[in-house]
Amino acid sequence: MSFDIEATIKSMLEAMKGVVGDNWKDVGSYAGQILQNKKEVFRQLVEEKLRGDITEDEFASELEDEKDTFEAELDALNVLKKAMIQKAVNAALDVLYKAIKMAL
Amino acid sequence: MKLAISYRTRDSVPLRYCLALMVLLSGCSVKMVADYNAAGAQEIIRIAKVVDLFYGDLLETRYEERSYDRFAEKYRSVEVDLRGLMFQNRIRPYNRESTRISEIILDKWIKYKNRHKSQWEKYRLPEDSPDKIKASEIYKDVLVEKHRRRFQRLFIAIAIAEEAKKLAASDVNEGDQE
Repeated sequence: MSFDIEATIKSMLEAMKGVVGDNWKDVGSYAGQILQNKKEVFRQLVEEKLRGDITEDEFASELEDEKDTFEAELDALNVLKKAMIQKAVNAALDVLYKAIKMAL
Repeated sequence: MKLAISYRTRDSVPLRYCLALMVLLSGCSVKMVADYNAAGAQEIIRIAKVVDLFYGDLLETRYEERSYDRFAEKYRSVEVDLRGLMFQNRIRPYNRESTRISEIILDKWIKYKNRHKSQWEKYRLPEDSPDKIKASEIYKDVLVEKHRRRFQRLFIAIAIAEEAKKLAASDVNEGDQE
């Protein structure tokens, strides 16, 4: 019966790296899309305000709603990150469990 | 006595720890997000379509005909759907973010509904009233388009939050089951 803690930790890290690597681009792509949307929405809002298409009150109201929309998008991003962490940690725990099982 | 302790430490105790650890780890997994709900994901798409169609209809309607009454029934029906979506999210554990997104969606829907209603009432004021507004101000095209896009982004956010849960549920023990 032997249990190589160093090799197990290395395997756990490899398992986590694999999961994070596979899914990181999804998080990055959605984060990029959120920022792009934000830039575009603010540019439009300012233009519409300057042209007089929207009033001062409407401008303020839209800014408020934009803040909430941004919060919602960040919440979605947060779930993506949490899901990725959950998957990565469970993959590492699975490696640990298998290593212990083999050592016994 | 010393010998007994030494014996336990060298042989039985590590084995006992290992067995205990194994038992613990066999049912041990980290949970940070709610389980994926396929029916919930479908419901999000369904409501998103209804809301998008609502704004499409609003844009197709001439300014003079954008009365609140004309859209009141649809406002109420979507509000019921959105409230249902919020409750469904609220009762699920590990679901703080989706609950918050659904609250924001409902909040915006009610806000725009109330604004439409109050603008309509201002339009119906007598001609000489200082608060009377023009038909084009009941619900401006520029705002309809903005609100339509905002809801699209909000529904994308809640749909992504739901789909992410599917990612979290990936089966790390797949190999064991085969």
